[in-house]
Amino acid sequence: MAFKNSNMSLISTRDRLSYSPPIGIYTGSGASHSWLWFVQILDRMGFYNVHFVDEKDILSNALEPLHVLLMSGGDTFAIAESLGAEGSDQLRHFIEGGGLYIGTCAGAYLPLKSSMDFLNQFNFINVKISNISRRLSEPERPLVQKVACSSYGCDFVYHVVREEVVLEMANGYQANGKKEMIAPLYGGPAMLPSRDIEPIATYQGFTKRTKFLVEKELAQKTLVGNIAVAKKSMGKGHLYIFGPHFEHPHYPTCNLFLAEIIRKKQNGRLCPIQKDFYGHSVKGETLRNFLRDLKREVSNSRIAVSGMSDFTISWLIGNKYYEPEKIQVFLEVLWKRLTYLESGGDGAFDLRDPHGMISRLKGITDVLRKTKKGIDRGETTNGLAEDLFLNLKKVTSDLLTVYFSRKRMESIRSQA
Amino acid sequence: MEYLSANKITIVDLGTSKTVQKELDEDLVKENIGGAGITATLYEEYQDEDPIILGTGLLTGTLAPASALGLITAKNPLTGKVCHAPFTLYGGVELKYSGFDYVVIKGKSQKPVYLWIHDGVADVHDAKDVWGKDVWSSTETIRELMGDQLIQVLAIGKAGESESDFAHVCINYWASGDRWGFGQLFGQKKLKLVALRGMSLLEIADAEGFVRECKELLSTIKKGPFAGKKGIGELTAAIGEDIGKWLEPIIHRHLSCFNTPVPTNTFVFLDEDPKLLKESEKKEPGFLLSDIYGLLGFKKLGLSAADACALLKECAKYGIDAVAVSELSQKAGKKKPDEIKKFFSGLKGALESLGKGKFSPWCPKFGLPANEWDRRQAVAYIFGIHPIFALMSPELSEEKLIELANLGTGLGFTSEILDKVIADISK
Repeated sequence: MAFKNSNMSLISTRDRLSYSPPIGIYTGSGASHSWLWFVQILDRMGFYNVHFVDEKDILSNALEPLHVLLMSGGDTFAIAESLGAEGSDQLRHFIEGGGLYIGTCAGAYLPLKSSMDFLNQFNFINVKISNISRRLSEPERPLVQKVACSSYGCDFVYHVVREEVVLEMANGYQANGKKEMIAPLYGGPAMLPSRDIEPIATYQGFTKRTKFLVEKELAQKTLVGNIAVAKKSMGKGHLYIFGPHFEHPHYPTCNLFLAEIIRKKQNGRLCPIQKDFYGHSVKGETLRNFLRDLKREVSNSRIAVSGMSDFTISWLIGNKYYEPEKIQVFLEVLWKRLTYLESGGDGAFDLRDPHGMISRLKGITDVLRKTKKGIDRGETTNGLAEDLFLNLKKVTSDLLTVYFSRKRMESIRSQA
Repeated sequence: MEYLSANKITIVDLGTSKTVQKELDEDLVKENIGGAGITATLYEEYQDEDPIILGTGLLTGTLAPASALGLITAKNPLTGKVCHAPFTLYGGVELKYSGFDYVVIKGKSQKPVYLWIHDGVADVHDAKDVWGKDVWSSTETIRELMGDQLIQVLAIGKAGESESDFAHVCINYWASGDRWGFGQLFGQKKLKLVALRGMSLLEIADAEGFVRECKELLSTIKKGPFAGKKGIGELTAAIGEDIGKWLEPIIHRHLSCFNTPVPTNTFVFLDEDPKLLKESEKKEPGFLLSDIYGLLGFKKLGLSAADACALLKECAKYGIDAVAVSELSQKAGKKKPDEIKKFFSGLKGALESLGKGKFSPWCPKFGLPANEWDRRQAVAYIFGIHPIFALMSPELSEEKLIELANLGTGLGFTSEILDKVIADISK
């Protein structure tokens, strides 16, 4: 069995891969900001063959060349609705054809059996969850309804804790040579045993950093002993489902566990890195001006969002709440990569739409400033925020595409 | 330059609206340390283009106590000498973190512009939204436009726009240490303001040693004679001017500049109850006193504390040097606030209080002989230490500052190098 009893160390440069399987990260409708955590760990561990796909890409066969699809947190309903039946077929085809699907939080709920509209097109895994209101007693239901829950037909999916939980590895799996690990939970599922899945880890308990949203007893009843991480084989491929966010960059043991799954996906097969070409090669003065323009706009956005740091506002977009801190996560990812791109010397960059990228960033700065003014005046800013997150996802994935392309080229050069 | 530095200088040509960036050469730092040592060198390099140099000291923006100083170096329009003026509060720190250690502003713009310096980017913008506005309104406009209240603004008001001899470069809404009429230079260049904001980080050569030394130094300072002292009243008392009873009724709170152990500024409420504990809902409840001689000048005219502070507020809005206003008002026999305010426009005359040296007389002498005061100011302007606090705190000795500079940069500065830099900038 893959990586059972393997002695995994924490992330270090020696974990970097010479070759990397083509990995897709879903950034489309319903994806929140946690896909950026995947970006960080892939980058840190040397997986540079990274691509970003939204629902339109998936419907246009973008999964075809990929070996791995990473589906992170967000609004499961919105993801399911945007992908629809056709997207579900694409996903099924991808997995059955040998693809690896890794879903965390919303990405974990997506393939689970459901009778809800849109979600019922993704019944890939026959498993029930424990954090659903039908499993609560009558007196317990209102207690949970008051805190964190999402409507689910006549029922609701509820969340009992945030931050850290303790997991116990199952079926001989180990994490960094140990049978226990700590992982962050932000609304992901707890699954009941099922013949359809192989449990990899179960919820075992809590730490001092666990934030209880309900009484501890109810949290224990909902989580402890139930399945946190599971695997299912489908055709030639596999689905790995994570309730906790194993991609969270503050949890290197979790990150390494994920990386090991991706690494094993190669099955010893090397995946040669190919050069991308988007048809617009820029270099020299044009490149320097482009990077300076990018920097100017990312900086303007960073400054505008830092002006919101005292706000306690959140925006409900679909079924998911977004706060100004999430904007900062996008902008910091952009800023760090820009710094790297700036230090790239005089080489050429292949860019899909450099002017579009700059103009989108200017638009983001503009919307951020309008949003702040709107909040100051007590106006509703949900529409602005919706537009903002949409554009942030687009511009971030565009820049990261350039970034990973650059990293791959460097990797090729260093191996030549 | 790897440590305690953004490693960049930007050269802004207002004639073309173009900006160029250069690396901060480590040799330049080794020879001139920082602050006035380097702004003076840059002034010489660009002197044919009538530059204004903005800079930070080597330790500005670090954990070093009172490392709050930013400075403007330019030719004093009143004396023709190259001089240095301080700006404190959070201006120096924000410049350091904006991605540039030094900014050279050369040439003249044809139309009013402002400079937006942020995260290693320097942009020249059309100033149509702020030209003609007073300092307060300009600061407010820029902060709203950019969406951040933490932006630090060096701005001129109507005095600068009309190129008054006593035009003052303000910091945000308040008076800075510009006693040289540098606001006139801004006006001549059609430069309305410089807005600063940055979120970069500084690297430290020996981070552990540097932090340890800073903590020890701070602990020693806290046991010193100024421990527990607060506000502008203590500073005036130290130069023999007791304003305690006069000012006390309108004091709301005292404020420190960045990382400065003693709050040297006092906020007075003019349009609000000074005893109010919650945040005032009034848009302009009062004024931040940071100019000792401006305050004393109006007191000497026989004004009440409230009238004196209200006039200081008007001076700041107009962007005019309050010391010049008070001295020339005295000479002209004007003693009523309204007539003094009308006097701002077209203010002319010779000042007895005009500084003769290189460093702004904004900072009191505290009884020190002129040569000692000059040396201590030079040290503060080189390392980026608040010039008033540098005089208040013997604990921040030259040896300690050199030691911190060496821990921070690993460059091996010596007292001989410091002596040479001081001699160079004092010429």
